[in-house]
Amino acid sequence: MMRLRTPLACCLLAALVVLGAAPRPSHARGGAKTKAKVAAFPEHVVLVILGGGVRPADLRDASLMPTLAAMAEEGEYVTKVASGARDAYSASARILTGRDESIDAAAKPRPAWPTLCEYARAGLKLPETKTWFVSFEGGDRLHLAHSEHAEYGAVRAPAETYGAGPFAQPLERFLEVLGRPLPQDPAAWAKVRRLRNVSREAVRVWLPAEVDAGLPRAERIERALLRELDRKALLNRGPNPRDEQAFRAALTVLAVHRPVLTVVQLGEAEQAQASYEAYRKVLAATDGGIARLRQAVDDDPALAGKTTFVLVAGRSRAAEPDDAGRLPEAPAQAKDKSTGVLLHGPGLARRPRHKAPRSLEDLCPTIGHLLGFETPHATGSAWVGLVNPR
Amino acid sequence: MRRRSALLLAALLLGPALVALAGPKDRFLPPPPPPDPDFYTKHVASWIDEHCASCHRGEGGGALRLVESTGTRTEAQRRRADFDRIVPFVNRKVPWESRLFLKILDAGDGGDPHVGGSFVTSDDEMHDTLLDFVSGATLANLPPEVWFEKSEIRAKPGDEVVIDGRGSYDRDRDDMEKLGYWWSLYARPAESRVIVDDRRASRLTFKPDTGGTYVFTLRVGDGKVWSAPRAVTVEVFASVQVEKRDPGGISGLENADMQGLARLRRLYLDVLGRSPTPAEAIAEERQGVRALVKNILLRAEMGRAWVEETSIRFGLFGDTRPVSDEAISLALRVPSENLPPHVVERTLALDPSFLRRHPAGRPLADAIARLLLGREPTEAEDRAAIALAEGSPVELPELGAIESPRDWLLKVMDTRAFRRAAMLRRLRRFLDSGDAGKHVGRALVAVEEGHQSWRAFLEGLLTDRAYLERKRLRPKGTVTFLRSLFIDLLERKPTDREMTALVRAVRAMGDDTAAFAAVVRIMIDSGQAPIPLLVDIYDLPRWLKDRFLRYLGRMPSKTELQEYGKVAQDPEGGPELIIQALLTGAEYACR
Repeated sequence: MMRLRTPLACCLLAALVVLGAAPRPSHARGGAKTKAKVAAFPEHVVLVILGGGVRPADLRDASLMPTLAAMAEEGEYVTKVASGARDAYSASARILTGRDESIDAAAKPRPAWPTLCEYARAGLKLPETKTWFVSFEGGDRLHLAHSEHAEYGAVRAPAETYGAGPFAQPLERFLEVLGRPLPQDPAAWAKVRRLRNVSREAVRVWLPAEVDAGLPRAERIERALLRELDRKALLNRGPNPRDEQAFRAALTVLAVHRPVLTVVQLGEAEQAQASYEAYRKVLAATDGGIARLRQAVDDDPALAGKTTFVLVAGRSRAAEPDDAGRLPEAPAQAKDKSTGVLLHGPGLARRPRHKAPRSLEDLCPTIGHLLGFETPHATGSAWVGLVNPR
Repeated sequence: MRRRSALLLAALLLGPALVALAGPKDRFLPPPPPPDPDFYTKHVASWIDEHCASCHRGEGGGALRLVESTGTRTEAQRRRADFDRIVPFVNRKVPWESRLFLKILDAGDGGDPHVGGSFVTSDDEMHDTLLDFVSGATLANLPPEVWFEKSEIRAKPGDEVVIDGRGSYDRDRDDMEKLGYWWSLYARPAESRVIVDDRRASRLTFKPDTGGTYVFTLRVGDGKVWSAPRAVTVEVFASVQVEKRDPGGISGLENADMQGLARLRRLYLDVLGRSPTPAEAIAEERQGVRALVKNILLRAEMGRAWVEETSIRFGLFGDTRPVSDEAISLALRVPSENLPPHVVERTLALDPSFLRRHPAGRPLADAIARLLLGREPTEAEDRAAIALAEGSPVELPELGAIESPRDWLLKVMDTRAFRRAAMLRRLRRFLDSGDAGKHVGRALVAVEEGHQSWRAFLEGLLTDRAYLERKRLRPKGTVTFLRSLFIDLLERKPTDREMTALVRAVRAMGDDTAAFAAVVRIMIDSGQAPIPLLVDIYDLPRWLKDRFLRYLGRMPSKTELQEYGKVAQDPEGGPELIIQALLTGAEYACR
């Protein structure tokens, strides 16, 4: 009997592997690069909204977006997520509020219902700086950070930033007068560190415990701030300059605050309206930005293995460029309006089950489920088959 | 650019103890003529159309409502109608305080909060045009301009000081011979009896009778209209004059008494909220402790530092900076009237900007509990805050019935808990939390006994050996760190605008010391900090000792001297890296 059972089990296992249903080793769910032990649930979530419209297939095209393709391989790529939004602003509003509400996108109003950031602050009792909304544009684009809901609203608003970044932005007028610092030579850091340590040692007994100046933790943040500020930060000639600014701001935010929830709103993919080639360059640069975010998470022991990335394209685009070399927005049919969501990191089920229908509104409760807070006004449903049960 | 706006207070806040004698209104001068419609049409109307009309022409634009554009009016008629609507926003008695002017002026230049934002700074041409308009300029006659060669003068007590206003001129060049002068003594030290002998002289002469800061203002008139006042500050110190040195070179601190230097630094950092300049340190380190403490407590800078720090702690900076006369003159009153902590905090908390910064609802409950009472808000307070925001009166234990957010503030500030919390915050400026707790009872009794008793208590505290010789370091805090950094690196104090920008940025980073380190790097690379090249340093160990004394107030250890010396001579290091390491280290972050 035993002889029979063993080959049978092997055959079954092989079949499961072929069908893709076999449980993958847990470390892969948190990313192959991550050496830290992967938790059942994340402590941090980075939600990247690729606004401007992206074809779902492009998100896992290894030749175009190798980082995302690898993340899709290690994590979960959910397809056929109905967008239904008529524009990028409405799509982001759906993702963040978890509701399918019609919105006058031209006016870019604040949502009427609470956003993910407000739910996170209320549910987890977080201070402002533990939830961040980082946008590729300022002004009314920042309206999506929080709603006008009476119970939530401004008192539960996340910290927000755009453009030059959270540190450089309030300093802009000051920097106009004093100029930006030069990028510091890597060898100089070791010297400064040595001198700081010598002096710290000289007064160690009189120093209060809370003063961490010169310690590795403070140096990590100092370097992040200087990276945001230095003169190289002005050289932003890539295909997606505003998205690049958002990535740089997000890197600072991750290094300094280690937020529980970071929302990064991008928008440069809309260049597809003008040129398919420009669109591809934007996506390649976006991939580089996400790779930097991921690297920052992996390099920080407080974030590595505890952070889940959720990457979503708010809307889709036509399958092929038109005669004028443009990649227009997807036609009105519901099928073409479906988009893709990539989840990567702890909290994903070992045996994921995808159940249709899925929509953008589901992301808000799904992230709430991952981080452990309620999203009472969201109408979407958490993808419980994809994530670990609570 | 001409700077004639009401920036008097900025000048007032410099220097030692002084008292404000009069507001900026000169009661003896005739008010300027009414605003001129032709001047408006030619120089102001198009600017108003461009900047104000989008909000103020129609509903929702606040008190100023420009006329609606209709087909029946010509352009000229519409502008004339706008002019009539604008004139009520001009203050003829004090033109530079006109709402029209202050609403569009940048907060850093004294402008008022404005939903639509600020549109001009004192450096803009339009600033001067608008000031001319509210001052009664016509197409034929512009207000004359006050001119001093120096707006800050230094002297010693007993010196004869001459302030020459003859450089003032009529901008139309046709009434030069009719130019009239009007001097006012705006502020003088508390003990001084100086007065202005001849208000109408072109040159003002006076003899300061005591050390401190004197502020005079001059207005000039061309027979038709008077200019806005311009202030000149006379700082009178009996201090030792120090030889001017190369800012990047050796300061001379090595000859100072180390114990005296340490005491001086402690007093400067704790009371004035900044480190002393080398010149100040050399001039004052040998003064007796009692004389030094008395002197420092009398300085207007002490009031300014305290009020600025409290304002920043309350979030009252930038667009929500204090606007009431009481709050604006507070920095002057602190040293001259020796105000106790609860009065300082009460004045700022009752400023209208406090309720704008912490509006009714949960933010107000948070502010009252955390900022004023030093604890977390209770659930009852949270509920009360929401009810008050909806306009319903509430009842709170110990406070009774509360009608409005302001009523709540008033009642809280009448409590002993608030007085105690405010006193504790003040004492923690000088003492550790435990020691502050031990002294708070005595301090409150001293305040009850009167301002002399409160002053004696403070002097006793700051001349106590245990305080002066304490070795344990305490964090500098954001404002003290930033002020010290400006003094130590740029050898000047930060402007209000710089301070606001830096506080905002550092706050966005959670007041982290790493943010301080980034600011240090900006300043070093700015080219404005006098940092010598290695080839300019003839005696490296001496230069290193000097930098330790300047920045940390102590001599380096042997190991430090060796290590810093190595990096200074390293081709990839140099003096710049030495300064960076010293100013970004743990010791510099402390006081």
